Amino acid sequence: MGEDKKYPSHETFDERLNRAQLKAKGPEAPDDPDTASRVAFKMGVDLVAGTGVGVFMGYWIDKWFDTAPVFLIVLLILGFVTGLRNVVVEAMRIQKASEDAELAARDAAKDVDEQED
Amino acid sequence: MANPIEQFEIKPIANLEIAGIDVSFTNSSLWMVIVVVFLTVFLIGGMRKNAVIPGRWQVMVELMYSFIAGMIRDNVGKEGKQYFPFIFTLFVFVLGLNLAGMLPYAFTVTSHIAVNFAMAAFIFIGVTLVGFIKNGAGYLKLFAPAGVPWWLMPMIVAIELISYCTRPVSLSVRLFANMLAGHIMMKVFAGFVLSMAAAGVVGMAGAIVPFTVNVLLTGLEILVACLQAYVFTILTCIYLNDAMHPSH
Repeated sequence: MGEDKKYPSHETFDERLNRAQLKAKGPEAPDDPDTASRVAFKMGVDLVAGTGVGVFMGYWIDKWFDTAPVFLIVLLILGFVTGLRNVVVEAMRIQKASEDAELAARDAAKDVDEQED
Repeated sequence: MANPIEQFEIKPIANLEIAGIDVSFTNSSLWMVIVVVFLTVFLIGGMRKNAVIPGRWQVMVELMYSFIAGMIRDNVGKEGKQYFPFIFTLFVFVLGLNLAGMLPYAFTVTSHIAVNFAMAAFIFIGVTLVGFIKNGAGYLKLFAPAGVPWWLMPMIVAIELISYCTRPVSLSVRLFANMLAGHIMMKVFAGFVLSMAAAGVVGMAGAIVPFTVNVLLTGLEILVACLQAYVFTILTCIYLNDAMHPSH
């Protein structure tokens, strides 16, 4: 009984290892950049930036070729579509990242199980 | 109550004009110079002993080095090493400007879209050039993803092209909006403290609430300053990676 208390580190070695690894990783990854508010902000900027760039390009092309307002209208719509595309791509990236993290966590848990068996 | 926007005003310190263009030395330029001088002293001073077992100062410099080196290795790959000086300079410069803005009486250079967009446009042009130099005309494949039916191609290419051009906008707007919003918020809460404290004893007691909020906001703003410098740098790495391996 007394010996068990003397070496509490033996049983919780994996836990301690995990904790130490997390701690070692800490300063390398400053916070998770995918929190909800940050994602919302990024997507908002992406959506507006697409439309904005489309309008900007359309306006200047029309000015150069004297075709107002053909390119302005076409590129406004295309710009909006681009904004949507950027948001969808970003959403897919975040989903993939979270799925990867989940898989990695499951694999890690499996490894621990196998070691215990 | 002080105007919360006043802190972003550009004030010329020395008026200069070259070929009809106003190039005055302003408070913005002053803070850039301060940050560059500080960073130079910090980085060179930290490495002056170049000890095998580093001291505290040297550890700080080495941590920054290995942080950026790791970021480039993970996001660009081994060939990214040659761009290390640029990425590192970019990171410490943006981080320095963001953090300098947290000092009392300081001017937040990165709260101006002109500064951020100049940096983002430089990155955009540089990355595009790298892409064409490394891949030649093959870089244009970035705009034509594989497996798209031919009748959709013109539209997809146009969308990808616009998407490519939104990069500098979203890169600079994100940094600018975060810095601007944070600093306005701090100034507004500081204004609450003053105007409540002026309203007698009850107001004085009530002023503790916005004061506490401001203390917390200061911590949050320091986090945002570091995080936005990180985001700015990692996006540059991701764009650089696209330029070097345009597999889409």
